[in-house]
Amino acid sequence: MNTIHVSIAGHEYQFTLNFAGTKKYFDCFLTSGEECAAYDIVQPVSVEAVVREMGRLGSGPAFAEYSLLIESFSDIVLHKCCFLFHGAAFIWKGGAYLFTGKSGVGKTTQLYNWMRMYGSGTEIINGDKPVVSIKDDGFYVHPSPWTGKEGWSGTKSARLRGIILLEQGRKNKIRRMSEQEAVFPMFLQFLYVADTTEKVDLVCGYLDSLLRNIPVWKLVNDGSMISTEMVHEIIGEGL
Amino acid sequence: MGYHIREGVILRQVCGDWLIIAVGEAAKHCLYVREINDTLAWYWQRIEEGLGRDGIIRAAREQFDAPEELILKDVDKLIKDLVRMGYLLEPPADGPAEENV
Repeated sequence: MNTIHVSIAGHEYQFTLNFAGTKKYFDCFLTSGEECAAYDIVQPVSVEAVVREMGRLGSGPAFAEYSLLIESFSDIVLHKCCFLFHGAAFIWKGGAYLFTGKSGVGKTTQLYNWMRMYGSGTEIINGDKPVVSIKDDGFYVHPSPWTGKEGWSGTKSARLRGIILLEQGRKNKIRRMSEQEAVFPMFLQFLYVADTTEKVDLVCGYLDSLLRNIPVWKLVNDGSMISTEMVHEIIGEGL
Repeated sequence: MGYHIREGVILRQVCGDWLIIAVGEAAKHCLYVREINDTLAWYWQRIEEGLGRDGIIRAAREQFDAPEELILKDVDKLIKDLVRMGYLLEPPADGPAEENV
């Protein structure tokens, strides 16, 4: 077994790994463990669970272990005014924005389009599962080791300014969602293990606060650059 | 009636929207989360209070300005749907009698 210390969203964590190869997925977040006296211990996954996950993913043990560790990690961060969120996060004009929606809806496409069109002024935070923290002055989006297939990851965090919920459609259109109508689709994007009422209540509380403070826009889109330009217009106007 | 909500299924309100959420083991028997409207949430809260079919109907008559037949039809359909979706458990064949309100 191999113990590593990582820093994610300003907090220190200790991970215990069964497989040496898993460490590479945390390379950008490693610390020596000596700088911080206090760290949270992330529950390791069992070898049996890794073997099952290998079968499910068709992967090797390191990737399977890395994939499973997100569950224990998500448990800990929930109790630190943070949560893992399913979305592609980037920084534009000093603010963080999230493309979110069901798997396969086109988050990567939109972020890819965005980088092609506005890449010089953009920094990617995370391509799949960023950490969102709640501070006194607002919500912040941070890199995490779980980056998705493309491995898009950055080093900077930024204050969250808006969320774009994606839906596929032939006709491109974008509109602001009301808080109430954004509840259900946003709830589905919180990444955590819903095995206790206490955790569900934490998520509901975070979601309530998120929607009361952060605008959510729905982008029905065909994946074209035109649809991405619509996002740019909205974000640029600060609506 | 004696129907009761499956253990682990909870009702929560976020920004005015109602969600039924299946926690833990409950998620093996029903959908993890479902969005419901104000009316269904009201009925759900009556079931949570322990009201049976007749008690719900009495309460609905007072709450809603709707014809009796429509209320009866809605309550019976609601119960049937909630059982089918796995949220509500039927009483055993020799279960307790209808509670009085």
